[in-house]
Amino acid sequence: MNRYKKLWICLLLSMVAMVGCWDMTEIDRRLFVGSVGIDTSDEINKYTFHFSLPIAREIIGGEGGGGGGGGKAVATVSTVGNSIVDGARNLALRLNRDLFFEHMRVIVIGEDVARGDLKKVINPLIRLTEFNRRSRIAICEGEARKVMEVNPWTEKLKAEYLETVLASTGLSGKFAELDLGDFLRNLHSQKGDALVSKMAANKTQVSIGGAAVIKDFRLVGWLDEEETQGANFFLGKITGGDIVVEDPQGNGTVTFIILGEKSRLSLKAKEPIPEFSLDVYVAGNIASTTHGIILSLEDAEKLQGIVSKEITAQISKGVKKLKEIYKVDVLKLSDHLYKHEPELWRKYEESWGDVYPNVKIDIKVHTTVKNIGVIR
Amino acid sequence: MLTNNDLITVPQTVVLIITTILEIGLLSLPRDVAIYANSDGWIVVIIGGVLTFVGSLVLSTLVRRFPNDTFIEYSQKVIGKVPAFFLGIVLIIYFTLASCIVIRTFAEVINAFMLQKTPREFIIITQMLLTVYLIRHGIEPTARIAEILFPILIIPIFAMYLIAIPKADFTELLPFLNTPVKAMAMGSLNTMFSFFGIEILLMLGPYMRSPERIYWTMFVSVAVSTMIYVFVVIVVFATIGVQNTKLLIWPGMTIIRTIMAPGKVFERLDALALALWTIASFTTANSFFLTGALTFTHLTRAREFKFFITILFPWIYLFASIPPNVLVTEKLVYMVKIGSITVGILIPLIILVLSIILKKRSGAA
Amino acid sequence: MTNIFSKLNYTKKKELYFERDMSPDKSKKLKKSIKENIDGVHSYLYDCDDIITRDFYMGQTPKHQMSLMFIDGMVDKDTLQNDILKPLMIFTRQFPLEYSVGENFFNMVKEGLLTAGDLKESDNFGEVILGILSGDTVLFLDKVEKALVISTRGWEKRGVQEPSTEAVIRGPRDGFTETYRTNVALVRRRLKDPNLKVKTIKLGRHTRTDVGIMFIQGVAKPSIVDEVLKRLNTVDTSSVLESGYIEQMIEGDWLSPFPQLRRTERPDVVAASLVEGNVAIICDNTPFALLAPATLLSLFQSPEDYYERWYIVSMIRILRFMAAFFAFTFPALYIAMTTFHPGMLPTDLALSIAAAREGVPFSAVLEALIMVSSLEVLREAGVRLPGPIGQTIGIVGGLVVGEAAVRAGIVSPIMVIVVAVNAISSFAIPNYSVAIGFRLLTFILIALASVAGLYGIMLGLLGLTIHLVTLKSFGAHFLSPFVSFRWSESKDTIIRGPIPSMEIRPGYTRPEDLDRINDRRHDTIDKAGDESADE
Repeated sequence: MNRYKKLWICLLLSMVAMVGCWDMTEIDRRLFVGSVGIDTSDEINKYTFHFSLPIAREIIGGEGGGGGGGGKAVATVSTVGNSIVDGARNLALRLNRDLFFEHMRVIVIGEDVARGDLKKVINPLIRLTEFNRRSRIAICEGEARKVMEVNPWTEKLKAEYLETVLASTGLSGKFAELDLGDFLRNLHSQKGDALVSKMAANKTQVSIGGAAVIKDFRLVGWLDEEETQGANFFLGKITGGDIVVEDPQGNGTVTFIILGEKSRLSLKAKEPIPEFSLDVYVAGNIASTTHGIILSLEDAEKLQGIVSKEITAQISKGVKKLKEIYKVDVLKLSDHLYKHEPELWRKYEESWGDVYPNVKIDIKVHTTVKNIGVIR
Repeated sequence: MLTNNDLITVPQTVVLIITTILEIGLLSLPRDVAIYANSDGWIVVIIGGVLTFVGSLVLSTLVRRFPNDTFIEYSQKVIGKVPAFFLGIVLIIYFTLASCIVIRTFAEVINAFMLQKTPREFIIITQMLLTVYLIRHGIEPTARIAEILFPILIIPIFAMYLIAIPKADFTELLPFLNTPVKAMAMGSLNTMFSFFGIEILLMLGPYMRSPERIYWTMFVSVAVSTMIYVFVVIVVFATIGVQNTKLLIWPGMTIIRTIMAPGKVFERLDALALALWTIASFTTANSFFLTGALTFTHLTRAREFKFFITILFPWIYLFASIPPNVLVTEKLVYMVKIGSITVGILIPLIILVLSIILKKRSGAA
Repeated sequence: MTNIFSKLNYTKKKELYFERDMSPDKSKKLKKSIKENIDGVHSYLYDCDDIITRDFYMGQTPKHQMSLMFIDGMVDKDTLQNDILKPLMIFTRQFPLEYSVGENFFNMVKEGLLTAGDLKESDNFGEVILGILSGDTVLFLDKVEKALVISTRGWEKRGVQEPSTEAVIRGPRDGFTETYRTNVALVRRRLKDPNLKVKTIKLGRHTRTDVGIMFIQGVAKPSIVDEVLKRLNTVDTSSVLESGYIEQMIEGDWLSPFPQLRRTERPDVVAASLVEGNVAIICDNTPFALLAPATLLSLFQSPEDYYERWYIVSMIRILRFMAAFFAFTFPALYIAMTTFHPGMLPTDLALSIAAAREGVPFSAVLEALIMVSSLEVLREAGVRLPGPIGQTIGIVGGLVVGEAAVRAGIVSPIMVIVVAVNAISSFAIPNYSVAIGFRLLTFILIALASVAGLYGIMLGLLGLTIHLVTLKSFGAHFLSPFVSFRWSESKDTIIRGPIPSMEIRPGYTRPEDLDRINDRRHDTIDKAGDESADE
């Protein structure tokens, strides 16, 4: 009978249901990896991985938490392996639970690893879908272990702490904010060049500021905070931060809070070598003045000029370092040529490595004071 | 043969064709066009759409010429019984393979992004059971399902891609028109493969309520599909970057891994997105499976069409399980897509030209 | 009793629906002698001690026998005494004797003597016995081959009360009762339309229940009316004790978890549906009327939807649909997300779920199954127990047991929340049968989710969609108006537009005249109605 056939199929399906459950793992059998630190190891071609693993029962204290209050919320385990996947599998010999990477928020790469070939480290991060493309990435001065051993007091979860620190571009433009997805995109569209946040650590907190310069998948050097801010201004990525300049009257300092920024790169001359001009539009508020008070329109205009000059100096400093010392085109000049002047780019494509350090960039900064607060 | 009131309306035909065209291949389309034309990929898609529409004119003209016949009947009238019989067999093989690759590709994506350990056979067989459960009801219910599922599929997918837009950098679409003509042409031809699915029209002719509006129907179907494709390609290019896109097997899926649901409701959306893609794969497999069974029915002049669903079932399952990994699957997909041009445009073109020369029409028979 | 059954006419589906009385059949004619007639009745109704035969005589010297037969407790004693016995026993004495013989006197009694309102002639045992069983009184006269069936139906019955299963805040308070005529009258009172038709048939070999089909001619689609009649006609069952029997026997797909007829206790709902082109089936002995065709949307509607303002109703309807979605997916989604895709959950939530589950001995699937089933048991127990105790059970079960289970570490607190949300959501669906159907699906989806996570749920949902899309209720798509969607019908779907904007009736019944508003056909009737109202 036609109708009974349906019933049989239902029965069949429910039998399959009883056999199945291939991918099922109870949530309390998983170990969520919050962040990972990668260092070199003594063995050749192997890395040391430091996983920070939040311990669920410690984080959610609950009512019976009186006894467990003393426990650490996050455990850090280290292992050695050829790749992050290998490392995680090695851990299985010691831990009874599966490492689960979908919640991984932060990847910290040690200086030594970064100076070697980054390609090897990031390959599994692209290939496997388990890794979160929204993980933040940072390169730390010295060993990543130091960062992973930090005990933050603002957050229970180390990963959350590191992540929010790395996401605080709204507060400061002095580091290079990017997630794994952006990082991969930059690496691939710029043939392995990128700027990555620099991170340093003491016992209870980490500090970010400055950037690591990656050239052809290798760390070649650092930018300090001002240079990084300059590079960020160049790329139009600043969404916050402040600039301290001298008072128009010359007897104190003024703190200028940046609200937003736009930058526009354009090609000024094609021959003999490309010459660019950069227009940066900055808007911001005056947050504090130590001495002088802004009384007039002229003062404000003067102040705008001073801020512009300061920003120009920062940009020049950053650009100079990137261009002349590191010779790394993270300023996306080649990208600009490729996108807007494909004909010209074909000419320079081969010799760009030699042309780039000599490229001239004319920087113009236009600052607008939007708000001066409620006193004059 | 199916009952006479099993007719589909114009909107139903449009949606049926769109949902047939839209399949899991959309996830890999940005990579294909990026390889051929870099940042001009989206133009390639548009040209591909236009070419597909031009190609579909052949099919549409055939439907107009023989409104009461399927391909099986009119090819018999035009080229005689024996050659037409062989063409019919080719058609059956094609539709069988087409539903195979759709189901298989989907299983592949599910295995990669969602259920790593679940046996592929389970995914294939569950999809097929669902398909069989539906198409046993006939053409009109299949079209009705497409009508209902289309908005359920398209709205969340659009929403997910829209979330990615704040991250997008639209300068990735530059340089504009910087691709050699030859690469453009190759790319466009290749994109036509992504429009495979219009050939179901070969069998749908007599089941349409208003075959006289076939040109308009095809125009809307191809135009809407092209728009969806262009939208996806542009968002993927702008968000992932053209160069990075080239490295990814399913860039359309990777983009969903780079976004986060507003309000942090979900940490990751890929499982949800894939659950939605199930619909896309399901509707496409439905159409091919159904047309395959229909072809069989018309070829054997049988009355009972459900019987052929049962006949095709094990074959589709078998072919879908054969490729050992995704690389082989991709090769098979490529072959079937070349087949789609043959079956969907070349063969009908020959039949059309012959029918014009021999002055055969539906009424004359 | 076997000999009675052997007399029953078992030929199926031969007769038309309006005459399906089979024991004893109508061909058995009444005799001339009153004694033979009474014996004839007794030959069928022997061993029935509740049958009362009242013999009396008329005239002085040649006494002519008359007999009344009725069932004690089913007749209205007032009518019997004042309108039948009194005129017959007192007034007939004054008539000359020549009247008191045969046909003439029979007609006299029928036309001039009995003051009872509703009576009809009968010449066969079939009608007579059915009349007696239905609560009518039968009058036999000597030397006449006919009998009078006088309607004296009247028994202890419940008054018109507020329906308990479909309570509304705003709206009429009257509900159907167990009496067929009362129910029909309640509807008729709302539709003073000559086109409102009522056709009554009797169903059930033993129960011979009155079942009425109501529809408005010219509004209801004839094919639906025919279909309902045709299907009712095929019902051949021993008993119809409630409309649920009819519902299950005439619905198209009995494997479906969804009812394909709508049931209601409210006459206003019936009236509104009739105007929309539905067909109502009203069954004796139950306050539940059936409406066909049912669509998923109509099953989600509450009568109040049309009495309240449209913003409020639209919001409530959207909430109702969301609730319905959660009513069958929530535990499954929970299982899929925690055991298959914990990457989807926000990190904090994932960690707190993991912490809550720590120490729970069962897997999430088993936990969910335990909780969902125990909730079903609680619900069932609550329904069975009398009101106040039912509430106690709810409190004890829900709060005490749940809390204790969590404290004992048998289930995780989050699972309690999940199951509670699931249950509460299902109670937001106005129609109880649909709500239960959805809760049944919960189990299937839990099974699917435990095999393949979200993909499994999607398979389940797609299967459900296919089922719903192909399901038809009396020729109307169950999912209409979403299949073959038309914008003009969108005003009464998930949202409900302002009433003046709902210009046409729903298309699923495809009424012959589509206008809901500016209905010219009704203008004349309205005028007539006004006049009668003036009186």
